[in-house]
Amino acid sequence: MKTETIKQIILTADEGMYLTNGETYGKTVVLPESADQSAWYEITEQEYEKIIAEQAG
Amino acid sequence: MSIETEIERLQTSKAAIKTAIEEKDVIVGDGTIDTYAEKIGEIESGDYNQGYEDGKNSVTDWLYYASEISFANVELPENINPIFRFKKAPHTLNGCFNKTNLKEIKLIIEDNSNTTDLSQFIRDSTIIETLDLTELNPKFRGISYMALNCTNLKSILGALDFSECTACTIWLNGCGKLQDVSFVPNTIKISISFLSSPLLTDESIQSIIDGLADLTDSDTQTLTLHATVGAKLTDEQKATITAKNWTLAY
Repeated sequence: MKTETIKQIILTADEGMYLTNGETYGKTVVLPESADQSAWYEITEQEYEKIIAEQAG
Repeated sequence: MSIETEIERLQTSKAAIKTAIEEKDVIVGDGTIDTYAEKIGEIESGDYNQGYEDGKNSVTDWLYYASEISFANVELPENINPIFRFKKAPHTLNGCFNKTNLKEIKLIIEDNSNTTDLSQFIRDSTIIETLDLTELNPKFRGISYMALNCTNLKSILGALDFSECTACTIWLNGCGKLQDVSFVPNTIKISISFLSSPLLTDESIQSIIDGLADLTDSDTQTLTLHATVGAKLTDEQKATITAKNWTLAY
């Protein structure tokens, strides 16, 4: 039998906010243990919607 | 008319027919008029005579050998499901079917000795439902904006091999009806997003996860899914993603 323990870091955005690393977006972010969670920060839903609209061009 | 005059008229006509045949690139030579019917049968059909490469004699030959081509903004006949076949991998198909009015496109590229670029391939095509890449043999270098704003796209057929792909920026953004997409396992090495696609099938979701390369010894990349899809993932699927050193956002 093989047993693996995989540790994760789970970030959840506050109400009315989105998480971003400047490139992509989500309400929830699941990171591998070794990843740099400081790359992720919150923006408001209005900011998120504006960015998505701009991308749609 | 005298017999002599008649013979002269026939000879003049024969010479004129011979000239007309030879202008169609068929050599008549010194054969008798009895061979002319056969020679006329050798004339190739098709009016196109300015191919991308010399010696090509039709639009299909031109496409077959083209290195770069675009049907962007071209209004093609409706209710057809055309097949676009290339012999060699065009260096780029960037924007090839931008704003196409076709519902379905099948792209065939026979030779896989070179890579190609599918950036903006069907961008802003709001009618297209199916993109058939089952016979796309070469790998692609870039696929950014490939189907951006393709609001009716439901299926991308054929397992996509991302092993040579270095850019896929917002390639499917706006594809809210996308259901079917699949990947060659362990070939995706760069951050990839399905942010706009809540209707992905379970098979598509698993193929995406299987498509992620193991980045244990590389920098972490990010898989972005629509919130609806992310919420459907099992703990096992999430563990598989992070175990390959990928970050999951949804």
